Amino acid sequence: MTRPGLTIALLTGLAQFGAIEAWADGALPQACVQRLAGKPITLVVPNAAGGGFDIYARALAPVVERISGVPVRVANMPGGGGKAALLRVADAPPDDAVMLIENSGDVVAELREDSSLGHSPEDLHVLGAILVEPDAWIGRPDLDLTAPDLPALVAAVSSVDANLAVVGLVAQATGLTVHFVSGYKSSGEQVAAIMRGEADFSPKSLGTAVQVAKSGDAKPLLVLSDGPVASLPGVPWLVGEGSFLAQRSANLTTEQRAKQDQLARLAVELSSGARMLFVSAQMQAETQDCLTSALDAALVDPAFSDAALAQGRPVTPKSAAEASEIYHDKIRAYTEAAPVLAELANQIQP
Amino acid sequence: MTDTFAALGIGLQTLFSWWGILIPLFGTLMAMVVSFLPGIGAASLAAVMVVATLDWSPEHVMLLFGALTGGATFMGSITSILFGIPGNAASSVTLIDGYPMAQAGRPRTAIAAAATASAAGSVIGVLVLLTLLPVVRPLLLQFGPLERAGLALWGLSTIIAVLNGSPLKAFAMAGLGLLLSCVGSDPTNSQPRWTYGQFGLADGLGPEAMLLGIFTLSEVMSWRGRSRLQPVSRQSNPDDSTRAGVMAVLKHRGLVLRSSLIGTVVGLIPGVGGTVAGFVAYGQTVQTAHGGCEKFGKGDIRGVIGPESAVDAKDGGSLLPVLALGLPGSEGGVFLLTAMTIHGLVPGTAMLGPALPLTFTLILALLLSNLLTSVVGLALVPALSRLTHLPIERLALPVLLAGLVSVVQMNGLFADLFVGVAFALLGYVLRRLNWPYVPFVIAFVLGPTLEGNLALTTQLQMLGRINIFTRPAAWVILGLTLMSLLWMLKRTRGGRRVAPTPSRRSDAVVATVFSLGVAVLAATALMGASAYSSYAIAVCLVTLLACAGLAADLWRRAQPSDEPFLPIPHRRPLALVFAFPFVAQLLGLPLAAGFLVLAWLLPGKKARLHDIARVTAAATLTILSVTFYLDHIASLDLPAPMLHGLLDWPEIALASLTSGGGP
Repeated sequence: MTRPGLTIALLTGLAQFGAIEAWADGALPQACVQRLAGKPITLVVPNAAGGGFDIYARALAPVVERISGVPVRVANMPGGGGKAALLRVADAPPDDAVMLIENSGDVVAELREDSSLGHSPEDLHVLGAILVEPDAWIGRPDLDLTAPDLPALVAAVSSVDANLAVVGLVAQATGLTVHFVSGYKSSGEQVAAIMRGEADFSPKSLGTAVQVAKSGDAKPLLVLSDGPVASLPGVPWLVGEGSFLAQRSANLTTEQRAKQDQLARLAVELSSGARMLFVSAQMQAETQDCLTSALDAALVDPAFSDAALAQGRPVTPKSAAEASEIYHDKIRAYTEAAPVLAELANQIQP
Repeated sequence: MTDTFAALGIGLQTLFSWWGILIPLFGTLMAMVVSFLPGIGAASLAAVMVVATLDWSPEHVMLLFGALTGGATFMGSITSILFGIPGNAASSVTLIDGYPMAQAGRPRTAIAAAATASAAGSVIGVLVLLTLLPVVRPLLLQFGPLERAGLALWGLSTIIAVLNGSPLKAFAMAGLGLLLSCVGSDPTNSQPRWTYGQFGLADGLGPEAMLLGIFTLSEVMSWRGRSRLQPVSRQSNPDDSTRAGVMAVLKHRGLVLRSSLIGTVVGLIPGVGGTVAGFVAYGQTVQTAHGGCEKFGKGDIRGVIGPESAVDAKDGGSLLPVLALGLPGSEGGVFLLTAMTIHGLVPGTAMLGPALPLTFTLILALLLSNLLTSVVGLALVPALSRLTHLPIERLALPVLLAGLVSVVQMNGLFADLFVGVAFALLGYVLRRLNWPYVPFVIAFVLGPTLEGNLALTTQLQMLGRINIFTRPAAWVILGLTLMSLLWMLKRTRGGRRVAPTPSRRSDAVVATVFSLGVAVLAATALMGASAYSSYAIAVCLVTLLACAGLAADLWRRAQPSDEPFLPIPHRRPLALVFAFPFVAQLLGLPLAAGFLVLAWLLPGKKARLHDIARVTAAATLTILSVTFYLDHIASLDLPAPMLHGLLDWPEIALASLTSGGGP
């Protein structure tokens, strides 16, 4: 349960007078407006104010507030590398309208790998997705991954474990030799490491890769997708027809190609970023349904996408059903990849 | 060059317009006010401003963010000087000499010196930056992990400069600082270290919680039962004046120049920050001081001037990595980057080419803001200096409460409350025994920079991606570090070593407790070797040796003392602060705050009914205020307390008031 405070008290009082129903904009069924009334919605962000998740949350909050008729507050909980936020939602009592905005891959990885948290990925329920986009490699402007006799590459990363799929698995699938230099804390430091010549490339989200390409400090080398990406024209993609892998594996046997193709597709599944909205699976079903309805309307509302885009954050909304499918695909991919990633982790020493 | 002058002209033109004056003025005043409010901080203000300025032109946004960067820096020093409470991490170094100056009846001189040095540092910093602008990108790319590690080493060498007393104690405290900075996770493999399964410690012991605990909470606990800051009397020192502070800065202009250059260079290096700039500048201030350095740490005005110049000069430098490389070195930098992205400004060569006028606008707004802050600071010197006459017994409780709530607010973690309180108790013990805590603070702040960059340098060296023989900046920093060490050698040989004196048993007991604590950490590290780097294990073992050696030395010289370790007025605050995190976890933060107020103010045996009613009302008001603050200002959503049913009563009470009936 959240610490209630004055908001709840005042809202409860107002709800008793029926005043609150007047606030909702009519996009939500009346039954939901009444169910949500008196319970402020909390949107938990696992980072400090100012980051990407925070921008999305603050753009979304007023829209959900207008649709649901109840106040929506954004709470930043960066503690414990975001685990405080994860636990806040996973441990929420059933009557608590608290949501988490987080990357699906991070949620799955943390809940699978850290048994001390006492939860599994299935303990969270997905209500929708804000953005689904592939990752990309950005690197030295003079680097060409398709060049013959490419020497061993150096990747600038924050930690090896967090980049096993996005770098290690891709390297294994494509036959590239990659060394990790881990400990570069921020995305900016990783780009600077490329500019100083300490590293050849670094994995980034598609949005960051597009920004970096604009600055000219580094260039997008490879998109970890199964097809070309419109926002990065001319940049090779990892797997599929005409892909980087197809070129690299042209001389291999069919069996070898199939194996590498499987690894590459696994890397694509694991690395793709999906910024989703989660609630506790224990949340009352009716409240969950009402929040889903509110988000379904809010995520496609132009007021949200315009506000996010104005701050350089694109939106590709997905409904609860679509997002849930993506989330469960992610859980399956992690289960499938676990032995491969464990073996990779043993091979790679920073 | 002509283009540069033309861009500078456009920047000046933007600044000298109505909006060019009003926006920086507004930003500066906002930043100054916010930097005084506990827990909100300049970063939160910047977050709000990013959204509020969505429709503004890029020029106006640059004006505002330049002002926000400049406005917050100096104000943190005021509380450092007056109350021994640093308003931000960078101003903790000003405390070393500024606070003793205020205690000695010279608050006006100290504040005036700080304000003037800040203004001078800012001007010098901006002038150096304008000179360096054409070569800033290649210059910035000279500073990699090797140079940052070197800079951290240089910073650590300044510990020697602040030595006053036993070198072994200082060495042990520096070791403890480095060791505790390792708690959290390994910088390269993210494996947890010394967290004992507590995920709240995964990010390490927060420097903010440490600074708040060591400096603020430990100091405030001793305020209970005191009427005012002692030994300040109503009759101030006759030499205390604004003019004396301003003249001191003019007299020590060489020091201002040196410190400002240090601040500018440190500011250029992302992720190093103002705290390092301040401490490095303090170190060189002591090392280059003419006429002896015995007064440092006891109220030497040069100890205020040096760091203040450097910390403000750093502001300008810290903007350039954001503009030139999109590399923010601080929270403020992150928000500037976000604001730039929103307005279509891409960091990189464009900001030093076609968008150069905007770069100049930002730098000039920063300069104006820094000057404005100093002018306001100087104008307020008489009023601010009178704050030392406030009845501090009444201030102690609000400051304590604000500190305890802020420490939770930073990350939304109860674990930080335990960390802050643990550091408060450590700070209290160190203050009581007069042990050096500055070496601890310097080592704790610089530890992660040193370790992280050493680890990167080692990996890059192994892969042949770095050649230490072709890094001129690293050699310069190394040379300066060696000069610091040579200065230490000269100082030690010069006979300044303190003669061994009898020690108290409490000193020996504390050293033994430290040794046992470090031994436990060493055993943990040796048993879980894969998660502990060679660096972490080495720091742990060296600290163990230092603490054990210190304990043995102190026991050898220990003599019984009649003075009680815990004075009676300190016992209740200590017990309350110690109990606070446990009560907060059990009942929640608002009720714990109410409990603290109740227990702090509750009169003794002669309590009358109206006293009890007054105290109960104060506690109730505190509960409601903290609830309101957490819900509506900080927007903090803490985990439910263990007895969360009890927490509902403010809600029920307010709900029944709203509905006009019972719950």
